Amino acid sequence: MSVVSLRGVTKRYGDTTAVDDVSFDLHENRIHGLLGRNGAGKSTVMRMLTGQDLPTSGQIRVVGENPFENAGVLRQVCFIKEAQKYPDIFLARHALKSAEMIFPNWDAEFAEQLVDEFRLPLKTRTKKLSRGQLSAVGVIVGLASRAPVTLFDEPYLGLDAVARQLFYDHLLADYAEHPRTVVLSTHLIDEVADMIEHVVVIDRGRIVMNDSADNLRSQAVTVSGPTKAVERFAAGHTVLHREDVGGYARLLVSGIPEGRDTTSLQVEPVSLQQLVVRTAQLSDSALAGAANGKGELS
Amino acid sequence: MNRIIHVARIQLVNAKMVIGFPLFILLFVLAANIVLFLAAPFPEPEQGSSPTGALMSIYIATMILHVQTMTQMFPYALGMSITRRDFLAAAGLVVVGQALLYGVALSVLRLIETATNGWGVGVAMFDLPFLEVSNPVMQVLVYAGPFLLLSFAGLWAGVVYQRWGQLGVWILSLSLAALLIGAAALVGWRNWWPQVGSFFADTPTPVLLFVYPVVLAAVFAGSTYFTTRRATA
Amino acid sequence: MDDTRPLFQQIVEQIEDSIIDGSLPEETRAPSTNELAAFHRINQATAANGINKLVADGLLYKKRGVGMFVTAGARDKLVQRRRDAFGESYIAPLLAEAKRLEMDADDVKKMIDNWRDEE
Repeated sequence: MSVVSLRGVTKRYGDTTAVDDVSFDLHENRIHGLLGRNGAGKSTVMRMLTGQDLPTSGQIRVVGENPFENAGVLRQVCFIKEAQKYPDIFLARHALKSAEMIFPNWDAEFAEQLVDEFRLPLKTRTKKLSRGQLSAVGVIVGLASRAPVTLFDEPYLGLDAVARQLFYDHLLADYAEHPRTVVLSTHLIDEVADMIEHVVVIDRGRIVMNDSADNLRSQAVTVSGPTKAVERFAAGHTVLHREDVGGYARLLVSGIPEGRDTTSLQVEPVSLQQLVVRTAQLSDSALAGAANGKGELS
Repeated sequence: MNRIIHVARIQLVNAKMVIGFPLFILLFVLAANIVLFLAAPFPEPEQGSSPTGALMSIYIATMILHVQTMTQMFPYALGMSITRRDFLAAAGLVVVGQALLYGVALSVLRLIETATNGWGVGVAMFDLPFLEVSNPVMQVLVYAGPFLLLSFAGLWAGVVYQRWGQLGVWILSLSLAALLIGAAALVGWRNWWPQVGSFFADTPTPVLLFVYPVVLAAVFAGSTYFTTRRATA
Repeated sequence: MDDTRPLFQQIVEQIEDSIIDGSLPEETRAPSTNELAAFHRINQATAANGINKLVADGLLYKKRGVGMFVTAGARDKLVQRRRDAFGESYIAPLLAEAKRLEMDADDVKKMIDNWRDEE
């Protein structure tokens, strides 16, 4: 069941095209990863999904309707951004209180528990909160809102490693008990790789990958070992990426070679991080190659 | 309607600050005036003397507050899944409620002022001659009118900043200034100052301080609505 | 790199594997500590530990001004060493696992013959 769908969505700011003919679906009750480099267009897409920005062209449907200025749809959507600014007069607890008034599924007890665990000082002005505490507010709101569509746009960057782990743990636990559609947008792919069920990768405003995590992982392996043994293993398969050091090599191999000798080899499932990074690099070099092929490009 | 009330409650979530701050400014200025007058009691009240300026303090403070409603509360609300329409409706509700509340507060303070003969030292902050009207309801409205005007003007200035940034505000200010200067030049050239003067003197207070401001406030409210439709956080 | 054994030990084993496999031939230049550190994303000191152990074992030697080289005869030396350890590394666990699966040494021998015939 598709709960969010984009069709041919483009967003232009003057001369810049931030999002270019993007189409994808988000499935109900799944955790999606919206991955890509800084400036790839992730935040722009999320802002359009939540009615904060209008696409230049294309169609967006959230729970079946256009989200722009649509209160019925938007109250089911909770969008937590990285650098959320709060009104100067707000104390931390006002941020939580206002969230409570907006989101129909708000769980106050859960919020209280999270405030404790993240050590959020409720009576401090939002202006005076540290970066980590600000992120904590965002994360708490996102979790306790229990909104059917919850979007996190890198809100956990300010959190320290312990707090981030708390966030991931709570997200998974609460998601199991109260399923909802979650989107995690990040460039810290490794940390969330195991949680993500569906992967959408954006590069330069375009979708370059859109598949379930399982499918993607089954499409490549990383194998390392003595050069000769590794090359034997990878024979007949495309090598997406290669690193060498005197007699030892690490290859990212497309497809999973079967029934081959693996002694003295280390074969690992490809990490999502590697897959995303290498795919982006491939598209970079393809573009460069295209430019060179055209001769002089000044 | 329920939703809008919720949004209004969010704007007032730190009510102490939102409602209290302009009042605090007012009382502070009043206290300052009383202290000043203690040094020289019962002077001749002049037109346009400091007490008038003192009253303006709460009006200006409220206007600034509502500029911030758009520059701070609005982006926050957008980020919290609130639609622009709901937000503006709630802001309008808050502005009207606040204007009436302050209108009542000022009327009450006026009564106390006349009763205590200028707070015991002859300060005439609220009891200004041109503000006097016959019935209490009208009194409240006469105080409230300029609040409505300035608040909606503040909202509009705030959203202009949100949508077009500092440049937009500059252009707006310069245009307004040009308009005023142009009007003043026109009046001066045609020697219409006497007419302008009598306009202010002869128009009945309720019309001058309530009806016209409300009309202008509605214009600002409409401008705010149209400017906000495409504004982003 | 896995988390179960010391990193420098893994470096040692990887280079030894490359020597045995022929990917790193004798009298060719072995990777420097910088190259190893970059490839495995580890600390240079750790890489240096691995290299030093290999030098101490006589498998690598230093050519002044050029770098580390694989000693002549290193491969044979390694193969012999591993053969010596073969029993402990492979046969003992093999028999232990066989025992768990209620197979005796004869069963295992038969199995080995079968596999070898299928090769």
